[in-house]
Amino acid sequence: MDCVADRAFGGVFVNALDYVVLLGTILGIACYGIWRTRDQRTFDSYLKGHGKTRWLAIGLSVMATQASAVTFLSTPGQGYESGLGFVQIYFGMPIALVIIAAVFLPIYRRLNVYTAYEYLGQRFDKKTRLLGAAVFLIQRGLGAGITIYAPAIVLSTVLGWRLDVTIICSGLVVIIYTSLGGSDAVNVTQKHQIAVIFMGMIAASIVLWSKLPTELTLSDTLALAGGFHKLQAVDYSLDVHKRYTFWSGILGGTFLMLAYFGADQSQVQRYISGASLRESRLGLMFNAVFKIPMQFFILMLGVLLFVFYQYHQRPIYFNQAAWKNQAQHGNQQQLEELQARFATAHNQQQHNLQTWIEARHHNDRSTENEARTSALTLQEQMEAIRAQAARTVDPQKKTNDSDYVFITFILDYLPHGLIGLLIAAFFAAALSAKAAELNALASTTTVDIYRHIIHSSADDHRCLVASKYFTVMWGLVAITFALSAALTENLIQAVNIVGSIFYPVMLGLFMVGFFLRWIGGAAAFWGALIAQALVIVLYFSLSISYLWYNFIGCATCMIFSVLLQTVLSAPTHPAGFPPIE
Amino acid sequence: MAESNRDHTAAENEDGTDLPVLHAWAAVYAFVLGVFFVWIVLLTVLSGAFS
Repeated sequence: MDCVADRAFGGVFVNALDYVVLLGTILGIACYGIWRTRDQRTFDSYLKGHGKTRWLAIGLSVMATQASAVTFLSTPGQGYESGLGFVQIYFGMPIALVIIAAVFLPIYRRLNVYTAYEYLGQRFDKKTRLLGAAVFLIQRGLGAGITIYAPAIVLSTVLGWRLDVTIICSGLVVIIYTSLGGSDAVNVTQKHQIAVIFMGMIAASIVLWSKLPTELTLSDTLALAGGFHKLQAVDYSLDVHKRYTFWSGILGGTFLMLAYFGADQSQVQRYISGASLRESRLGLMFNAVFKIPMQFFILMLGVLLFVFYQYHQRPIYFNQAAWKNQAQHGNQQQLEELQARFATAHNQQQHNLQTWIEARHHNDRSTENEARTSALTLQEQMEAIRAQAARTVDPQKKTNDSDYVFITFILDYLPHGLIGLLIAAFFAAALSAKAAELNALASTTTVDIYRHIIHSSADDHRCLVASKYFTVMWGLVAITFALSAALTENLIQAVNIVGSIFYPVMLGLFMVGFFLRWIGGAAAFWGALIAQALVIVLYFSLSISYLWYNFIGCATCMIFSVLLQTVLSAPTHPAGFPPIE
Repeated sequence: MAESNRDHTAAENEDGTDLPVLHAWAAVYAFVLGVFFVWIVLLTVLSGAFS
């Protein structure tokens, strides 16, 4: 325990063995990706791969693209703070992926498109295609830095690395292998990166489980977690102001996932590269089956961390670097006082927990309930002390302390070597998501902007070279954004807003294209713009969960398109898209 | 550009899954949604049992 305390409060976290594991893993995978895709010669294979990608590789690639480093760094912290409720956001995913596999995917493959927005051009017109591509480029382009920045800010803080060096190094690695190998390099590296991530998470779980008190059975552990309201996975409340409920997950989540998997090029590019329609479909079904268990597992890891820290001394504020920095700048006495109060409460809690578990073992319900009530009351007091500490250390709420829970456990309790593996897992997650983004941004810029508008006579070789340049360009944009820390704080908010209010309407365009085939380009385009204006007004005037905008945006786009088509002109049937009989 | 690929994708068989038991895609989708339903039930039971 003393050793742990030394490490948590400023000792050397990472030794040579950890660095060997970290650098060997990250650079090894990147070099392997470059070597495997060294004969990438054509524009088609650069954007779509060699056309032999099997379902498991597609499934893992789709999973790795969605799961950024934040998923593995922050989600356990979310489980620690709020329990399992976040899993409900994924309830729409199986439904959305079935719709995409059955409807979207066959059309993308039949039209042999490079980007989802090409479909909009073929189904509607040039301006609608540009609208879709522009929304994607703005959203992903603005967000390009966040995928690198978010994990870098946490890892550099706790490891004592320079933030700018962390961002630049990870950014350059991903730029090099993505620009050289294209879509295939993304697929090949993602397969190995997700393997590293799974190995790291499983290893951390085993260590965590082994360090829980031996007298705690699985049932006791779940009873403790449930007693502190951490196992409330499903909430059937109809309250639209609650962020995560069963209904917002099913309805809003389905449209959110439809927009992300069906209309976001970073995902579309992953599954259209399959060797056949069958492989692409099975890759999507793999995610439809395994995504909810995966998120449940990561959140459960956070819940177990909560139980673990009931029995082990935990820092009042997990971001110890910020804590120490604040202590050195005049607030030392106040922070020490808070720390002492927190430690006293923690020690008192041991008595409540012991009584609780003993009563449970003796089937003494009355004493068990009494001890549980006392433990909950004390827990509330401890949370109040933590909140006071957070206000003192970070009055502007620039960081979320729950992001530091899992990494603190890793650094304090995992053996060397495994620490390196876990840090490698976080970087692998960041690189895999970033690579898919860069690949998609470059593809859309080349296909929907460069070849479509700027240089329509460009041959394949010229487009291939342009794609590589655009990959490097977007990578540098990402690094630049990530380095602008002050700007990025506001940028994260802006990107989240853009994603919440623009993507649903873009999905509406695709839904009109797929399901309302009698509607033409003009009605769809102007219907989308009107719907977008309405969603923006609603976003800034209502306070409902953001998940609902995914349904509202898509539905209003479809309704306005129908109304405009009815009012403006006779129905149109573009070539290749006959009306539904 | 990529005409052979286009011909290939246009001609690919959209009906076969080549999976044991689940021969049609409709069966695959029903299986996936069935697994999802089981998860909802399990999570609901977990929420209720330890609340």
